[in-house]
Amino acid sequence: MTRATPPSSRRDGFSVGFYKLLFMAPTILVLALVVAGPLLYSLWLSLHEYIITYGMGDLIWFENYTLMMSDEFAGVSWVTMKLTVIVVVLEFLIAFGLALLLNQPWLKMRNFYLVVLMLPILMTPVAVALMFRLMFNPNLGIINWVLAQVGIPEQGWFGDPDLALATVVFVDIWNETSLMLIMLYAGLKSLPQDPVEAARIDGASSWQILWHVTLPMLKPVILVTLLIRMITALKSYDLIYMLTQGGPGKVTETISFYAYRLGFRFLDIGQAAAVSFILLAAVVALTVLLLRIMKEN
Amino acid sequence: MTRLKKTGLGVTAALLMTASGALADAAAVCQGKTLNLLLETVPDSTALFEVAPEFEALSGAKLNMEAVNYSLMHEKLVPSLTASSGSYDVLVVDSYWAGEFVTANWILPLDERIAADGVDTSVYYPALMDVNGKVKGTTYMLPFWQYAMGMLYRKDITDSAEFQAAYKEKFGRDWRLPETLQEYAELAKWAGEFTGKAGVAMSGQRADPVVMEATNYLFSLGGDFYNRETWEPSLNTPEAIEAITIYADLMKNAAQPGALGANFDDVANALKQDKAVMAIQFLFLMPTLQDPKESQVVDKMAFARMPGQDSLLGAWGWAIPTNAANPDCSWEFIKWAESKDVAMKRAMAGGQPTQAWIYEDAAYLERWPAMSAVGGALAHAKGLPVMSRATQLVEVFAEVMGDVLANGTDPATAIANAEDKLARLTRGDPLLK
Repeated sequence: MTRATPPSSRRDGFSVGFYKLLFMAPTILVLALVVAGPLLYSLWLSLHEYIITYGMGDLIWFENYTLMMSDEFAGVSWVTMKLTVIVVVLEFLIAFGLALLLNQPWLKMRNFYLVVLMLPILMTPVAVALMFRLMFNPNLGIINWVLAQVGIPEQGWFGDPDLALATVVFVDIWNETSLMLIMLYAGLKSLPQDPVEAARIDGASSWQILWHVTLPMLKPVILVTLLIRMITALKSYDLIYMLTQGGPGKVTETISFYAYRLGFRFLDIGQAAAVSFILLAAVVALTVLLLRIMKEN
Repeated sequence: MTRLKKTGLGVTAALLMTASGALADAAAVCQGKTLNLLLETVPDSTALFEVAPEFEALSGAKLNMEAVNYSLMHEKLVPSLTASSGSYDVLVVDSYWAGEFVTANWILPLDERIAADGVDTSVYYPALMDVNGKVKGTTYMLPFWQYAMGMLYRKDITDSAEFQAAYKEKFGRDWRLPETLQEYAELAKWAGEFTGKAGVAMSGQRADPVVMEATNYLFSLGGDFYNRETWEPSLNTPEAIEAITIYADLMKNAAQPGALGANFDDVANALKQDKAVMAIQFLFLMPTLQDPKESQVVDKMAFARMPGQDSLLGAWGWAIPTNAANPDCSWEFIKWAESKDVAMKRAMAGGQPTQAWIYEDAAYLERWPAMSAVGGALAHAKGLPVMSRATQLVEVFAEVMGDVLANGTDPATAIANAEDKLARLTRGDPLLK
C-alpha cells in the first residue's frame, strides 16, 4: 500500500508550507520574545561598558571578553572544571551502583528504597544548603560533634581552604545523585533481557555480563546522563552561593558565581554578560555533543 | 551651644512634630496608600513591625514591610531601583551603598522636606550623619540604626583573680584592656591558651564579614583604603600590611575552628556557647548575647572601643527611592519612624539608636548598660569612604583578604595585586571631584 502524497498547494492558492509557517508563527514569536530577545540583549550588553551606577557606557566590542585572559577567570574556570569532573564521576559511580542494586530481582521493598533515594532531588538546593550549613557548623554542627566522640578534632569544613571544595562536593553528591540514579535505573529497566539470559546460559559470570552485555547496551543512556549532569554541574551556583559564597578566598568560586559577583556585587553588567556568554558557549558545545551522541545511538 | 542643649531642642522638636501637624500631614498624604518597605532582619526592624499598626492607624496607609537577610538586600534593591517604577517606597540604605545610590540617582534629596517640616537632624550623632546622612553636603538619609564596632569580651573571665594573676605573670603588668592592635593580638593568643577556648571569635567569610572585621584592624593602625584627599589607593602601606598580617596570624592561631567561613552570626554563636573570649564585632550583637534563651554568657560580656586609633563605623539610613510611587507618604513614614516615641521603643527592644539623647536616658541605660560605651566608640570611628563604588571596594578588599587567608599569599603581594582594581574604582567617580 502506498501513502498519498500531500498536495503541495491548496485550492485557496496558499501552499502547505505557508500554512505550516502560519500555524507555527505564534510559537516562533513567543520563542523569539522569551529566548532570543534576552539573549541578543545580553549579547549587546556584553559589548558595552555598562556599570549600573554610571549608566550605559560606550560600545567597546569584545573588550569585556578579554577578561577570559585574566588569572581570575582562569582560577574560577579551574575550580568549575574540578568541581564538575569530581561531582560527575563520583555521582555516576554511586548512582550506577545503586541503580544496579535496585535492579536486582531479589531486592524487596524496591519502591520504598526508590522513594527514599529520590527525596534529595525533591528538595530545593537552598534548603539542602541550609541543612548542611548547620550540620557542618564547626561549633554547633552534629558532624563535628560525632567526630569529637571518636577523638577527631573539630574541622572548619566550609571555612577550611583544604576542605571547603570537598565539603561542597559532598553536599552536591547528596543533593544531585538521585537525578543520575533515576535516569540510569530507567535505562536498566528498559534493557532487553534476552542478551543477558543468553550470556548467562553461555556460562558468563555476573561481572562478565555487566561488562560485556549490560554496559554496552546502556552506553547511550550513560552518555546522555553524564552529559546532562555535566551541563548542570558547569552551571553550579545555588549551593556555592548558600554554602561558601565562593570562599574561603576563591577556592570554591565557579564561573556562574563569578558572573553573579560581577553583575550583582560589582554592578558591571557588561563583564557579567560576557562571562555568561563564555559559559553559555561551553554549555552549547556540550549540548551539541549530546545531540550528536543521541543521534548516533 | 552644648550638645545637651541641642539634644533638648531636638527632643522638643520631635515631640512637637509628633503631637501636632505631622500626623495630620500623614493622614492627608497617606490615606488609602500602600507603602512597601525592605528591611534587614535586625532588632530595629523587629521593633518596627510591632509598632507599625500605630502608623497605619494614624495615617490610613497600609505598611507592607519585608525583612530579609543582609546578604539579599543589595541584590533585591538594585533591580527595583533601576526600574522606572520601583517595588519599594521606603528604603534602608547601608552606609557604604550611599555613594552608589546617590550617583545612580536612586534616592531623593531630603533637605527641602527637612526644612519644610522643621525636622531637627542635630539629634543624631554627627558622625552618623557624616557616614550615612549626607553625601557631598546634601542630606539623602536619616540615620535609622548604627553599627558601631569594637571589642566584645568576657568580663567574667578578665575580672577573675586567676586570669589577672596569670596575665601579670605573662605580660609583666597589671591587667588592662589592650590599647593597641598588637597588644590585642598578644592578648587574644594568650587568652586562648589560658582558657582553652578560642582567644578570639572571627568572621572570615567573604565578603562583608571579613571586610567589616578586618577594616577595624586597618583603621586601628591608622591605615586606609585611599588617601581621602587625592583618592589615590593607600592600602600599600606598612600599616595596612601589618594590620592584615595580624589578622591572618589571629585567624590561624587564636580563632575558633572554621573562622574562615564564619559570619557575624557564627561569631555571636561562638560567644554565646562559651567558646571564645573576645571578638572585634558589632555592638548590635550585645542584645542577643544577653538573651537567656539562647546564650550561656548573659551578664558576662562587656564592650570596649577598638584598641588603637579608629574602628569602623557604619549605619543604616532611611531614604526615599527616586521611583517611589508616593514620596510624600514615604517621608511621613520616615518622620514617624524617627519620632521620639518610636525611636525609643526600637531602642528598648534592642535596637541601635542613632539619636544621641537616647544614650542619656536612664531607663534605656538601665535596660542596656553596655550601650553607655557607644559614645566612646563613635568618637574613635570612621566609615568606609563615601564613593560611588564603595560596594565594590568591599569586594576588592575581600579578595585581598581571601588571597592572604586562603592561598597564603603574603599581604604585600596580595595588596599589590589589587592596586589596579582599587585605582579603577575611583576613576571617573563624580563624588570624588
